[in-house]
Amino acid sequence: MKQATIAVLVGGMVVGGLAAAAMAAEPDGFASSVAPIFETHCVSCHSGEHPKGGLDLTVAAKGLAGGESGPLLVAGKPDGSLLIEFISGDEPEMPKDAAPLKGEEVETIRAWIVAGAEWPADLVLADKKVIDANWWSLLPWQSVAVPPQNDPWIRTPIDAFILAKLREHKLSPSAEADRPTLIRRLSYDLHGLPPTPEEVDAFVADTSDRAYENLVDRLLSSPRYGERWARHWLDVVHYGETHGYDKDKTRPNAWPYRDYVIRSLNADKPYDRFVAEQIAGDVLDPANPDAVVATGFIAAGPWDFVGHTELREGTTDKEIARSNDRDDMLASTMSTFLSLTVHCARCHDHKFDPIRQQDYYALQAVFAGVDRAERGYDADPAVARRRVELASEQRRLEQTIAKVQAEIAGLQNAEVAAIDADLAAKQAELEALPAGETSHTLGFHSQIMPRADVSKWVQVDLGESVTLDEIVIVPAHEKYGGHPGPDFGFPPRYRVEVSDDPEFATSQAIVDLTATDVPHPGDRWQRHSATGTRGRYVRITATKLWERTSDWIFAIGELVVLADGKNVAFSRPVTALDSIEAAPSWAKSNLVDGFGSRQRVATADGLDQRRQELEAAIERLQGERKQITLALLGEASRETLLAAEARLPEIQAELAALPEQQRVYATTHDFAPRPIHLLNRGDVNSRGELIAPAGVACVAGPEARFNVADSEDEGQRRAALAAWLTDWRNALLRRSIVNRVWQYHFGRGIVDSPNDFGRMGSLPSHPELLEWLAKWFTDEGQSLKELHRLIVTSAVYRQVSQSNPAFEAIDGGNQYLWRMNRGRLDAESIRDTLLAVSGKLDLTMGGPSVQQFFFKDDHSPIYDYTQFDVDDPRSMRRSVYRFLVRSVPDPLMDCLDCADPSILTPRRNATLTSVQALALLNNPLVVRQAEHLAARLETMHAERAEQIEAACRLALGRGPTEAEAQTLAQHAAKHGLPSACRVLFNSNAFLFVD
Amino acid sequence: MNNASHFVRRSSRREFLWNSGGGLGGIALAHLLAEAGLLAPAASAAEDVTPLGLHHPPRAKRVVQLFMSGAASQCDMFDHKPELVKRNGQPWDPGEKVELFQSTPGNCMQSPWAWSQHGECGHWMSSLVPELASCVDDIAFLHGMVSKSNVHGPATFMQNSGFVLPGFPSMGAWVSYGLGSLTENLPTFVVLPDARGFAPNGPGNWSAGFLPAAHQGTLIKPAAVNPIADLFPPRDAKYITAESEADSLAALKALNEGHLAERPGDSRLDARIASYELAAKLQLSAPEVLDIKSETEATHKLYGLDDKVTEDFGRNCLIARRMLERGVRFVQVWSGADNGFPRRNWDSHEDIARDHGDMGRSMDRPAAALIKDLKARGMLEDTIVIWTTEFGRMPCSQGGQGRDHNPFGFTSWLAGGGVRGGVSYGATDEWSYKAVENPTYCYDLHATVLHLLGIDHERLTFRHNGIDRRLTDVHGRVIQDVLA
Repeated sequence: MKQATIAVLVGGMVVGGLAAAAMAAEPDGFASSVAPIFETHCVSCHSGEHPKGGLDLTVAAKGLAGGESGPLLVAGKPDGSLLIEFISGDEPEMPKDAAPLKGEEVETIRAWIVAGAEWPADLVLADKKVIDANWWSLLPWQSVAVPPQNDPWIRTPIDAFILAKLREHKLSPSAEADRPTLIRRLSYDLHGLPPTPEEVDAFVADTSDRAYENLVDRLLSSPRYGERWARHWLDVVHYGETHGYDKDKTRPNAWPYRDYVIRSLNADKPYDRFVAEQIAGDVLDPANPDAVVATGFIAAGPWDFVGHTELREGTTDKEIARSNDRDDMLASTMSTFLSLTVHCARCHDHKFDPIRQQDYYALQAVFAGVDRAERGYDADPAVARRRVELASEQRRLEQTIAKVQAEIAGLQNAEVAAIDADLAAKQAELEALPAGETSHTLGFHSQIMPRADVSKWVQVDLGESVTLDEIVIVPAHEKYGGHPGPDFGFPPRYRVEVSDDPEFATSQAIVDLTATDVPHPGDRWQRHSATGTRGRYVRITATKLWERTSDWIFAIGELVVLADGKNVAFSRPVTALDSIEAAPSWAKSNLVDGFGSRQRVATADGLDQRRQELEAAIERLQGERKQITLALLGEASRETLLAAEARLPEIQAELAALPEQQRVYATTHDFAPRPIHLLNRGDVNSRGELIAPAGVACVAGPEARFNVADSEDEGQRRAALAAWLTDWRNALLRRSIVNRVWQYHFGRGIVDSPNDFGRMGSLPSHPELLEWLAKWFTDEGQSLKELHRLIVTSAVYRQVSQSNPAFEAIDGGNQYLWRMNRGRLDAESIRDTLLAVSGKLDLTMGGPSVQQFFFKDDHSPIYDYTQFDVDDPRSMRRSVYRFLVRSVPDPLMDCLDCADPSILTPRRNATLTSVQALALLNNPLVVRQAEHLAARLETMHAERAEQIEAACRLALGRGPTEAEAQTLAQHAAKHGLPSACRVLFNSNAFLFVD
Repeated sequence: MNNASHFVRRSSRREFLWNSGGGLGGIALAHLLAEAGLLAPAASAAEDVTPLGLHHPPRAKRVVQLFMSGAASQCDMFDHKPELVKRNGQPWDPGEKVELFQSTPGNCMQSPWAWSQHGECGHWMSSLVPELASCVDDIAFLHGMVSKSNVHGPATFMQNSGFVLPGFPSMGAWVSYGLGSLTENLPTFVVLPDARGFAPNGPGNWSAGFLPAAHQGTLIKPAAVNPIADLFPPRDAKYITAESEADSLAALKALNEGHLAERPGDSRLDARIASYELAAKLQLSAPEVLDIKSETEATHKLYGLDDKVTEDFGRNCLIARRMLERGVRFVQVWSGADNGFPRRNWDSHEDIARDHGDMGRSMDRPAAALIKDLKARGMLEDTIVIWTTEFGRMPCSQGGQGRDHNPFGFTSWLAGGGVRGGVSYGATDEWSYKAVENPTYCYDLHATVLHLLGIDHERLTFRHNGIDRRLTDVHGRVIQDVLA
């Protein structure tokens, strides 16, 4: 049993030997002698909500009462006490799955019972189980020599390690596979695509000594390689393009990260740089667009849209949402780069590995200053550099201004004092205003148009002709939705008219702003004087609509019409050219309901305007104060301030004039890092000590404590993590990645649990090989391509996959690799092969993901794969470019065990189910590709036999056997070539790679 | 058949079952089959072996879960509070700060529906659910339910999988993994969504998470051309006919057997050949189980298929019964789609009378029919009926007529196999605001259901990312009080 070896306990904490037994007999000896034994060996299980066996050893009252087996002990009588019975004897029952207590520890407990088992009532015992850091994966670099094997079979050092193990287990390697098998294996392994018949022929005919090596070189230098291996990486980091959860909104700009991964792999970026960029590229190399896009890693996982955007600040649920978000970031980071399960230490110290709760929260602190969000980046490095320069000058100027303003704040004279008093009074009144009534209503919203130059109107019927004073338009403010922000839907060009004719055949203009675009009003009310104008109907006509995202609308929060101080529009009938009626948010009637967007702005009695008046007054007073104090200021300071204030708009203008940035879904950090506390039991309402950002202490090598100079600068935290991860002494980083690469080549890692190198994970089948590979990889420049080359040119990789009953009996799971593993094609390879074989594959690289479904953006968006035309050109792209929806996966890919982007997928399952059989038979994509292949074959050859031959060479990488040729030809004769192609696509020869 | 080939057949069958899903049930079943020397089709054998349970003898062998999406109100159907009637319209003061999802608490608001006592147990039910009121003696009410999230998405995940995060297996997937199939002809875990669309989280709610994909819920849309994805070829594929289909499967088998002959010892190749045989069975069984024309007029009426209001949910409940009858292990039926306007689920922020009125009337008759029908057929004794929702609603008003979310106290209920009818477990305070007696998390409900199925919830585990995951996380207690 693995569990039996788990807890190697450190006895040093316990006062040793008979002295302790003597102490235990003292009246208050429990705390210093027995309690530490309980805390180290017992409390871990015997505590909490459901203590094991019903026994809770944290306090005397519960502990002495015992559990399901009865009272803990009989004071004075150790031999009649259950406790002694459980912990002593040849094979003591307790501690379970751990080393027995030492003899002197048992004696200490025995002495305590003899002395009357005094246990102070107010003493609370805590879990202090100590877990040994002496574990293979956590050790510093170990020196490993290549085993001195001498055998002509050996091609690379890898083979020497493998052969040594095989011999140890009385096994021997299998023969080398034939060339058609090797090229098909390599093509799928490195490209996820089948070799073409021409490529197979060329390789089979190649007489060069380096034929195989040349093939490997060719495959590794093709961009198809990056596409294939990026998909593996995207599995590991749970990359998806919607948020997940309720309202599974899209992330239209997640794809630049996917392209970054593909580019990085194709460019063979050194692994440490690849890692550092994904954690802190924006900090380490801000002018490098690639480095900024790389941080898409942090945001790759799911995100609770409602929890983050709709919940109010300060609520428990908001705290939980944020804590869960950081948990995802750190779990993803530690699992991906270090194969460590730090996330297990969220509620308590890790049960099996030496990871403390403090380590966990130190990593939460690393990510305490980031939220997931879209951010801009400049694809042109020159622009990126200029933007960084300008931003930094802007920051300097703002600091200068702030400094002088601090000086100004200290200046006083009678005039200033009067203004300050007035300001204070107004501010106090503003703060004292009630929060105001709210409502779910947002306002009026027109239908959506495909272009801007459409006129739309909305009007209110005042009931009778009225002499007006003023017309106030309150812009809408969308808070959630896809376009949150002020002046939502506010038209850049509009006019306001009054008439007694509901059709507005004749009218009086109040204001006409249709000649040029008006500036964005923000949340400011647009007040238009109407003094003396008379009429029954007030109409607003937008002559240019507001742009949403490639579509155009007209929306307004509230319309207030003032006459004699009253709001005569309140609750009156509203008509419009068109509108979206989506109560409670949007409705025509919301235009005059007294609420702007959610906030009360008016009633029938007029404007609810005290707040507005106060805000305006404060702004005016601040302006006056500045004019006066400027005169009081010293010459130098004044010059500095005025120069800075003059320069600032220039910089802002230049910034605004830079080419528009591209967007990537990554991180935002426009807030001070949130304080991170240790949370008892992981409960956000049970805060412990404040925790500083750090690495994980048990990992050998670099210092885990971070030297972060500015605690407000979150970027320094991530930069420190990146430095800690990639420090050359961090052997774990390299052990983790070489194991992943090995796994994808062989179908199984040297460590079979690629995300868990801890005690609950698997042990390495070839520990020395893993260490040697990790070291070699590090020394050779951390080139993934060199690692691939080393692995695939080995003799072990080139073996046949044929089984052998004798060896099957020794090592049925083939963990020692006496043959190659046969593999089922993964979902993407199947889909890409169908398209490649049918001749339809579109090898265009990169760019926005292709949506292979019907999409309707709604309150909760709708994704429907059944309503998508499989002959749409979007179907033809490689599968790595599919748009990945978390809540609704593509049914074909899903049943082929495609990774679920809601979870980290270090290794995919490979199931074989009836639902999968149905999909390969009937999914429209498969059914259509069979027809396309048939058509292609018919253009290639006239003879049926040649068509069948070509079909097999395309789909299976070899010609048909005699039986296959006969079966397929007969079937084609009876039911046509498409039906025969469909059969071929469902065959095991197609689906498995030898 | 000699002994050697006999053995090969059995052992490959075991591996086959593992390959075709990798569940404990598959292993257990194959193992038992081998021990009993049975070579009979698994469907009949399964009936004989599964009553042993995974960890202890089960009280039930199948489950139907009715999920009310959007948060169904306990205080308008099941949780009667005279205080609320007495103080209707008065300011509500529970004596502490109340943190609501959207609003600040309004006044006390009594239910728009009248209350009366029913059955021998005398349980109070509102007039919104008159049909369920006639079943109270079969129902165990859990009045002290609490949730860890006040947000639909996470809370819906929690009721399904025990976690507020996506990516965890739902209860149906765990049951499939633990117990396997009762029939080879139909999927083990089936989901019938609301006819108007998916609930929050979509198919994530019936995900297999990190369990093998075979355990995820199979989505059935009874009204669609292909009620199960890709059950039949697309209609526009003219080259596929009934005859070509039969010949295709024969040709495929010939190819695969030839391929297998050269590659002995790889059970996956066998498993894949068998998967096409199972697929063919599913093609035969699925249309039959969805065809409700053969049901009597009385049954149609019982489920409310004669009434527009109850027709959709009623059809799904009737299909659920037919599935259960034919060996489906776990059926999940949804009442309520996504959160949108006009309301198409139970999320009645604006107007309880209007929106819960619609939802309640559409749910009541079919849900009661399911209990009555299962009972009449003798199936209720080994079928668990679960009625649940992601959280409840507040006893105070939101905007005068609606109710905001209430994760602090709500009602779920159980009926059927091994469940004691006519009892209540747990209780909310005098307002129906907070669970004050036996607060119950989904962990306890899940533990109880697994227990009734013969599974110890602490021992049904799957290692993922370094943790032995359970449906009940590190929580869960079997609710002994509701066991018969």
